[in-house]
Amino acid sequence: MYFTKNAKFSRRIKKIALLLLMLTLIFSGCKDNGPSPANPVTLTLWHNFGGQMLKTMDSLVDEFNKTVGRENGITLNVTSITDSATIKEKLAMIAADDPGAPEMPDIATCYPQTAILLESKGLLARIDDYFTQKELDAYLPGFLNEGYISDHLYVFPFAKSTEVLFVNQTLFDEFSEATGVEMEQLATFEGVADAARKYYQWTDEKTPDITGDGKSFYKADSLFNIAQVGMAQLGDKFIENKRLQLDNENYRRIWSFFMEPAVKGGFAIYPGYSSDLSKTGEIVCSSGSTAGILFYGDEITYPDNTTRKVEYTILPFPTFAGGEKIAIQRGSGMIVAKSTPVKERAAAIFLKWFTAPEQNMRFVASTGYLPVTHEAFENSITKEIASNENENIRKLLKAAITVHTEYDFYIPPVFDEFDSLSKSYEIDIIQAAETARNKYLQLLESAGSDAAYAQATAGVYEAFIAGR
Amino acid sequence: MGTSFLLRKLRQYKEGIDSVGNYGLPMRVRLFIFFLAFLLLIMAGVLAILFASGIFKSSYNESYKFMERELTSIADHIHQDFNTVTVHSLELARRLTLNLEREFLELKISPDNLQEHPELLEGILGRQMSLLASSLEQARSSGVILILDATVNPGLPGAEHSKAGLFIKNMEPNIVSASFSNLRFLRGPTSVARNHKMELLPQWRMEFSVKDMECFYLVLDTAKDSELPLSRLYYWSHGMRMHEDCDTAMYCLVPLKDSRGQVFGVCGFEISSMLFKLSYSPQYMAYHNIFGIFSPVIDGQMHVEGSLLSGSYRPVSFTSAPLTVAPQKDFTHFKQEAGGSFAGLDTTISLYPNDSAYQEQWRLALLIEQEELARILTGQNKQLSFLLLLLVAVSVVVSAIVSWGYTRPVSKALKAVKSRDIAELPKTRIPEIDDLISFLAEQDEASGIPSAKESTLLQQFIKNIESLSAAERAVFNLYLEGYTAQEIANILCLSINTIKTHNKRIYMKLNVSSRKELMLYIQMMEEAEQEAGKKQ
Repeated sequence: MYFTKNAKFSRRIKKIALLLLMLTLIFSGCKDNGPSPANPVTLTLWHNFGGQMLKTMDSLVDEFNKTVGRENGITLNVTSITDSATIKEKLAMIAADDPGAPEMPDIATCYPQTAILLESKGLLARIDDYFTQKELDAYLPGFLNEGYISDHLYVFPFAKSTEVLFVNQTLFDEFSEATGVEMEQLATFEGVADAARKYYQWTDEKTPDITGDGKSFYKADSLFNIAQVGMAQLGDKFIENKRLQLDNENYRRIWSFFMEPAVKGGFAIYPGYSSDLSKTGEIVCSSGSTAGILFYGDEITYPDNTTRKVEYTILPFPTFAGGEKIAIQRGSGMIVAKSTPVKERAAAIFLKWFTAPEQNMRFVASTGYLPVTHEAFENSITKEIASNENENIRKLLKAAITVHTEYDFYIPPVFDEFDSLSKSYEIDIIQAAETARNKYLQLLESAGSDAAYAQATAGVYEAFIAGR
Repeated sequence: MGTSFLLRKLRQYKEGIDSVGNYGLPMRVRLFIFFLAFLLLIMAGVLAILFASGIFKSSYNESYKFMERELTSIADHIHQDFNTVTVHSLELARRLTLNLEREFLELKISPDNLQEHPELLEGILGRQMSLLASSLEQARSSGVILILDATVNPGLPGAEHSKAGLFIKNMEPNIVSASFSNLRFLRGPTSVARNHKMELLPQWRMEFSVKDMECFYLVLDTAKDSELPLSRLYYWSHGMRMHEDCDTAMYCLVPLKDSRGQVFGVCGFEISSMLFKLSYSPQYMAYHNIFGIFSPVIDGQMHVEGSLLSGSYRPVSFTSAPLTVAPQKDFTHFKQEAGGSFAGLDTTISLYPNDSAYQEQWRLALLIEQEELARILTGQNKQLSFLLLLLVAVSVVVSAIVSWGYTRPVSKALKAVKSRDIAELPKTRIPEIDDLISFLAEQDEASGIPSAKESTLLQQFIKNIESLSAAERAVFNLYLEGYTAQEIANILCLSINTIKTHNKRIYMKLNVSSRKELMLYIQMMEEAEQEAGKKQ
């Protein structure tokens, strides 16, 4: 009967209502979870690329805001530019919810050790949620793996570094000419220690009237890294079950490598960066991150404000004699704060853009970091070596390629106490060396160098490893 | 499927409207127009209320109020904070002057021949380090400087522009933390930094290069020629870079003037561009692309090169060219030569007392690109207009659906009444229509018009007549003429029994059971013939 068609009529009404609802949703701006010009977001960014790197970082951020950012409604707002130690402290304050802690930025440069703290408080976004497997495969696995915590990617690699040996070629040439010490001997730590001894002696002899005023030759930016990598080079483990392995022959060798030249004067005892001493010509060579290259500059300033133009040579990281060629893999990554899906997706868009080979190489070419994608590492870096105007960068990239091809990378373990462990090691070993050095200088007045050293360092090693 | 259905219905409405001239408006179209007119009337009323309440201008007013509120708030903060930094700078200058006068006395030197004793500079500076560091920790500033009018090595080329001093930076002036030191060493002898266990910044230099620091000479020269007190001799520098790898910053510079009026240096605090941005950015929750500029005014224009900026966004069209300010009725118009056009609001901020040696004017402006502001304003009205249009469209559809849904059963019922047996129509559950159907059925019955069933039986009856034999037909015809069985027997000269036999056969062939029934059919035949005669 015709009135039984009422059901069909109801269905039609429902369809029309559904169509209207869909139209309303589409036109009323019901969005998916991505940013867009109609749904803009501002991301705060903390980074540690100040000084000479600031210009590059500023131009990249500016370019992102004007291109991809504009297209996607994303504005990147840099709200902190400071050194990595300060960023680490600020992030630790946030993780601990300390009074006076700043607001968590949307993106920040961060080391895995700090990321663990933040992740344990649920403050970090899982970056791998916003990348396809194909996209992740474009990155060097060693660099990517360092950022995984509990099976998820929290620290995204944008540029990595390793440690190399910076040698002030100008000063070294003078020293080499006078003493016959060759650059080749700096390939081993023992060679560096020997050169340091000779340099101290040579500079001390320059002022025959004053004894004991020789100059330091070498400074390591991180003695903890030398111990980690040195032990690995010697086939041993420095950290096991979150404890330092110090009571063994291999570590004793590393200890001696540092302590003797430090106490006798060939190695600088200084808690800051080696570039501070390089700038004033107080040391000739130093081991440190490739990213430190820009801090050295091209001149040294003496206390009377006279300056001297110098050149640097960059050598691969030294090895302990007989040890394997192993260098550390270091460098922070970028973390993304746990936030709204729109902000997290916007941060991922920035990370993808920032680490694309073109941008990545621009950053690398002016900062001394290593690129993170296969494409950039295998193809772009060679072109960059040929075209970069900064000679130090060219030298550095060559050294980086040597390290990458001839060396294995040592990746430090990631655990909560790692930072405090390395910090206390660094402070204590410098303190031990400084105390022994002062004692040594006093003893020198009444004893020979070796006897004074033996007396000044008696029991120091045992005291250092005790309870550690 | 839904679309084709709608199109079909629209076509029907069109046909209905087309036929208005011939038959008048169909019921469905009438109802549709009625509904639509009703809804549109309501819509017009809403629109009139919206216009009257000024909602279409509300986004404009809201933007203006927002910017005005932001401007006032930021200007108040800047005025207050910069005043505080000025007070800190003056206090630092007083304490440094006191310290250094004492130093000079002990060292038996005069401030005016400081340059003759470069070997003393490192020691003099080193002894001011603690005061500078503690002053910096107390001030909300990104750095503190002390520049002496002397150099450690006057024999070097360009030494006249190289000045000994100290520059300590606070890396995180916004963060309060006792757990670590944020202070770094930017200028000064490295031995001083090491004695105070302070790390050098990568941009470290031994001395200040004041060749391009006009403000240094300005402050020194003004102080030398002036009898004004210190509180009238401080100067806020334009935004500048101390060195190419340093951050842009403003400096509050106070001359170091001893009790005898000899000027031997300057000191003061820094407001870096980062600190400025973090402290004085507009709240861009609703207005994403708004930014602030705090700039000295030179020749009536805002001097962008000497300004500090705030906000996260910097338009592509914004250059370092001076900004021409053209006040309008509401938003002020800002224009850069070969650059962009901006709308915004501005206000003057006084950094000096009336009787200061410096009377430079500073302005704070909140800007947004003209096109961007227009886009925001029209965008909000567009959204409102779109929603109103959407509401009209929904009204049309709803009117169509309701009128169609309402008239559909009525139309169907009317159609059925014309073509079917009314008595057998089911109930429509529309009382008026069911009443009408009942009424029509009763009329039919009263008028004797055979029902369809009766009509079918009659037709069968007439058809069966043809099966009668000639004798039976003769008897039947006489029945038709109204004769009784006896009269028929007499007329046909047959016995009554023969007639009865014929009757039985006739009943059987015509499928009737009695004479009464036969006579009823005969009556019906006659009525049908009469009806046919009337129609003819």
